[in-house]
Parts: sequence; C-alpha cells; structure tokens
Amino acid sequence: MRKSVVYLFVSVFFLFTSCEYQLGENFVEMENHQVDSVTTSVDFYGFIHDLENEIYVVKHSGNVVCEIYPLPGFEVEKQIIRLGELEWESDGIRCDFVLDVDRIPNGSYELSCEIFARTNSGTVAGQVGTEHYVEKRSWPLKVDARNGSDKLLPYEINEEGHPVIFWEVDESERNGFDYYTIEYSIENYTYIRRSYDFDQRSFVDEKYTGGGGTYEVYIYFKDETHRPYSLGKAVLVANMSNLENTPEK
Amino acid sequence: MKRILLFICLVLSAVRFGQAQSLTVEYNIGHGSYQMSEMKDRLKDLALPVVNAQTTDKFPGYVTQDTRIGIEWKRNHAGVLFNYMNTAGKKGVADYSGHCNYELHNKGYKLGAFYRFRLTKEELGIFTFEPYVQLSSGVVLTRGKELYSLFIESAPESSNQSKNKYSGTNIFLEPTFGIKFGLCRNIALNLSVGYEWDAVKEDCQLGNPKSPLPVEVDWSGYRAQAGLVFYLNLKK
Repeated sequence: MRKSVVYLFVSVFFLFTSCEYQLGENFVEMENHQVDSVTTSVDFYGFIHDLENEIYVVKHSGNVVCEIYPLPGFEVEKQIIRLGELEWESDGIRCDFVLDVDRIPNGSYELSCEIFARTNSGTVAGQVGTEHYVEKRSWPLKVDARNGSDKLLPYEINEEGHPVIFWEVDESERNGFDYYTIEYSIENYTYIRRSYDFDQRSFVDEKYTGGGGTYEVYIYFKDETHRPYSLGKAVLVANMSNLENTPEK
Repeated sequence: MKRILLFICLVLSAVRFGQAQSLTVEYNIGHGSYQMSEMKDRLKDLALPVVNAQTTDKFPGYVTQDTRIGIEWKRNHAGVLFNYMNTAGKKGVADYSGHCNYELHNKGYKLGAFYRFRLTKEELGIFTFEPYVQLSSGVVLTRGKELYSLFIESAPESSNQSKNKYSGTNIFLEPTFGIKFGLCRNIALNLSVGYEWDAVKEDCQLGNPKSPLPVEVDWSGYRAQAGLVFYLNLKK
C-alpha cells in the first residue's frame, strides 16, 4: 500500500507539471514581396549632366539638390549621398548640400545615393513602422574644376591691330604639363584655343575684331588629379589699338 | 488560511478517530470550465499596435487534477483537498515578419475541505455501488502571468517584451454528486459531477504596475472528475 501511495503521488506530481494549457496562434499567411526598387527616379540639380556620356560633371563649387521620387506606398525616411570621401545625409525626399571642389581632387568618382524607405504592406513589421527597404543608386561623376586667378596678364596690340597676350609659368611645371588653353570671352560668347607647347609664352589673336573682351590662360596637366589653374587674365577695352597693358610686360 | 486549517481540525475532531473506519487517499483527474468574464473582457478591450489581431484563446475549460485525503466512517467521509487547474487567454497575430501577442496564463491552486455523505451502498456482484453527495469549500489561490510580446524578425532591436505577475485569493463552494464503485476492499473508482462557485473573488492587478487595472479571476464553472480512491482500513 505504501509503495502504491508513493507511485500515486509521484505520478500526480508529473501530471501537475505537464498538464499546461497550450495556446493557439493566429498566423496569417502573407506574401513576402521582393522589392527591386522603392523609387521612380533620383535627380540631382546643380551638376552638369553630360547626357551623351551619361556622366555628371562638376566644374566649380556650388549648391546641389538631390530629389527622390518614391514609388507609391513607400515613404523615404533617410537618404545618404556619397562622393569620394564626402558624405551628406538628409531625412526625407530632398537633400540640399554644398559641394566645395577644394575638398575633393579632380578625377572620376562614383556618386551614390542610398535610400532608406518605409512601407506598410499590412504585416506586423509594417504596422509598427519597421518594414524598411534600402536601395542604392550610383552614377559616374567627374570633378573637372580649375583654380582661378586675379593676376593680370600683360598684353599689347601689334602693328596689325591684333592683341598679343603674354604669360609666365614656372619651369617646374614642365614635366607634368599637358597643354595651355587661351580662352577669349565676351558677353555670352567664349572661344577656346589650345597649345601643346610648354615654351610658348604669348598668343596672338588674329581673329580679334576690336570689341573688347577677356583673355584668360589656363595650364592643364597630364595627371587629371593635378588641378588646372589660371595663369592670369587680360581685360581688353573695346576699340583699343596700338595700346599696351601698363601693369607689366 | 488559518481559518481553513482550524475548520479542518474541527472536522477531524468531530469525526472522532475512534469511530473512523478508513483513511482514504484519492486522486481524480477531470475537466472543468471557467467563467473568467472579466478576464475575457480584458482580452476583448485590449488595443494592440496591430489592427488584425484576433483572440485565439478565451480561457477555455481544461484538465483539472484533484487529490484528497480523508477519513471515512459509516456513511460519512470528510477530509482535505488539493486541486490544480489552469487555463489561458491570448490575443495577437503572427506572420513572416514577426508577431505581436498578449497572453494571460492563469493557474489556480485549491485548498480546502470536503464532506461526503453516502446515500446508499448496493452490492453488484463483487463490486459495490455507492452514490453520494458532497460539499467542498476552501480557497482558490490564483497565480497568473501577463505577457506582452512584440517581435520583428528584421529588426530585433525594435522588439519589446513585458511580463507582469499577479495573484489573488477566492473563496469557493462546490456542491457535487458522485458515485463510487468499490473494485475491491482497498480501491474504489470515483466519478463525480459538480459546480464550483467562487463566492468571494479578489481583484488581481494587471497592466502597468504604476497604474494597475483590477481584474477578477473567476474560476466558477462545472467540474467533472474520475479517479481512484485508496482505502487504508483503520479498524481490523
């Protein structure tokens, strides 16, 4: 009898610990949609867009705006724009930033925009606001900036009435030299000539018509990361003839 | 608790051991239903951060387990009882991205005394047929657990879980009708049907401990049991 009683109570103990009510589950079958893209387009305003070569070009510092157009049902939470070592971040569909070309050397880069978007497809994650998608888009970008100069170049008008522009350049630049550009600009017109002779130190513009304008000489280098710079500029007044630029020759 | 123990001692002393015929040890397993009306309302009214949550469990009836130790003399049978019952409720939703669930787990431990009066005793071959009426009373100690769980598969850091324990004490009365089938001199098969009524219900404190919500845990409902009674004869 005592053994029976012991067995009874041991069995009761195991029954007590095992007879727990098991709860059910309200599991909803939902399709896990694979999302390829969360945006219709991403546009940049402030860069030169070379449509032929499908590349953005940056020639000088300035304000840039990135505008995202999301697909219906998606809300952009954050965007991160990267260019080389530079990075900008914004909450929402628009990012305004200033690109300072002094902070990034000339060269070819990848401009990227990483988009963090939220959606609600009716899942538990979507309803509590944690259903996120991330999309990254990228484009080639070339930084092709030049350094300006306030230096005035000497010039003279020769016997034929053509302006002769003079410039100086340091001998140390010879090894990396690629070409000079002599840029003539007046109102909305710019005319660029090139010279591949490092030793050239003057230029005669036989097409000058006497209407004034500005000549600016730039030096370019073979290494594209070596930023071109201006050697100076000469400002001509209209109807000048047989005159020399007095500051220096 | 002290009052219950005092009551038990009075019963036993009134029985007068000198007249007791048998010491009984009994184990029954059965099924019971539970009112739990305020608990059900709590589930129904609770707002979760998801709109498609459904109540999957509403404190349904479940297995009960009962042990009794008593003294039987003539037509009378009295003693103490210990009973265990449990049920639960749940509201929530789950899908491939995660789940959001609210659960209430209730366990009831009954401690009390019973008195059983045998109506008759009929011989059926080698077996005996003994119908009886019984009244049990005592306390139901509720031990409950409230669990809220939000889990996001892709963002575990956004997941959230909170647990809260609660307790309460009810006083119950349980009239029962049963039949014992004596299988042999020392063992009988017991079948019974009764109704437990929680006459006094104490509020349990659910929700935020800083601003708790009082909710009654009502274990009232029918009880059906079957088990074995073991006799240890005291008189030779």
